[in-house]
Amino acid sequence: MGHTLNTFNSIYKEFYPMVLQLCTGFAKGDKSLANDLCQEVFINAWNALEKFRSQSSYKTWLYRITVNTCLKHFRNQKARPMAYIEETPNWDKPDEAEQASAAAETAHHKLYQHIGLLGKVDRLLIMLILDGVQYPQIAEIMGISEANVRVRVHRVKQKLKNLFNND
Amino acid sequence: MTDELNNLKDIWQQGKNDPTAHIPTPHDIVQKAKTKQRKSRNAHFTTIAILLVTLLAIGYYYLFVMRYQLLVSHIGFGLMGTMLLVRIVLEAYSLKCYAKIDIAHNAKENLEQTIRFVRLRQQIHGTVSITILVAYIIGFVLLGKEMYLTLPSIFFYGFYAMFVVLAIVLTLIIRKGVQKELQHLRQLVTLLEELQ
Repeated sequence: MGHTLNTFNSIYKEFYPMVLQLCTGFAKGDKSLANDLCQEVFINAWNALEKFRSQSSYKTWLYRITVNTCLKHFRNQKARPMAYIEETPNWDKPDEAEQASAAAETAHHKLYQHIGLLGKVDRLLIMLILDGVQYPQIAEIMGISEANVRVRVHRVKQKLKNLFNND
Repeated sequence: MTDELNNLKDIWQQGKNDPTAHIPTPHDIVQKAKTKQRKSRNAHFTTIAILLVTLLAIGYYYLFVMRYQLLVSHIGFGLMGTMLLVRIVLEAYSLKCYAKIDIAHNAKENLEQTIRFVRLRQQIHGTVSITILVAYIIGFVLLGKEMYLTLPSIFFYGFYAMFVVLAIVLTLIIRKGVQKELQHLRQLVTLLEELQ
């Protein structure tokens, strides 16, 4: 049990930002939902840890748990407003750092918004690509062929390109 | 597209460094996981325990309190008791099947496992529950003759009225359960089709 706890602690610390980011993308930028999903992922990870057989890395294992947790998340979604940043009035002229930060937030918001327009599976695929996961690994995580992954990712990239161009 | 994709990757990676993110401690997560597991296990065992206690209570009442003699009453009671036992076995089997779903499998296999489980639940909520309900009704009707002879009229008609109301309520609950499972199943099948 002690070994399991230590292992979980180190997995948690190492991969929390990665999982939260995937959940945030899946939740279309909704931070509250993302936190709930992220929590659910790690609860599932804790429950599954004893069965882990080192057939893959912890990272790949956690990707699979994240994908499965997100895919099976069904909710009666009333129109949830996209997470947005409320700008408090600042009468001082914004300095460069503040302008850069605001620009970055807008960029994230736009990315989540566009990813959010994709179907669940395509959303997860493109997020794995953005996270730097290689095609063979994505195929293993999703349980589909690498060729299938390449075709789908190509289509998703085209869709995203059109969405960004139409902005 | 490569430059655009690299740009998106940069935006994505920057998103991981959110200074406003509140990170719960691993201890919190472990506690929540244990609580959730305990609640789920207790809910299942409570259901099975209630069904078992009901079976024992009905058995005791029938064999030692009322002591019905007619064959038709024995058949009626046997039918109701057997159906209750079937329900208990199905609940335990369902729990075993659920435990086999591996969240760490690849997405396609995990979805297929989940779909198999939901189909099982759909059968349990649908065909099996309706069969059990019909068997209960038949069993109760078979007990009716000796109940009429042994119970005061007011209790006899009271029992039957209560049973009719219970049968209607159970039918509605079963119908709602089946619709819910069907909706869940459709969502999962759509996802699997999207994946393949």
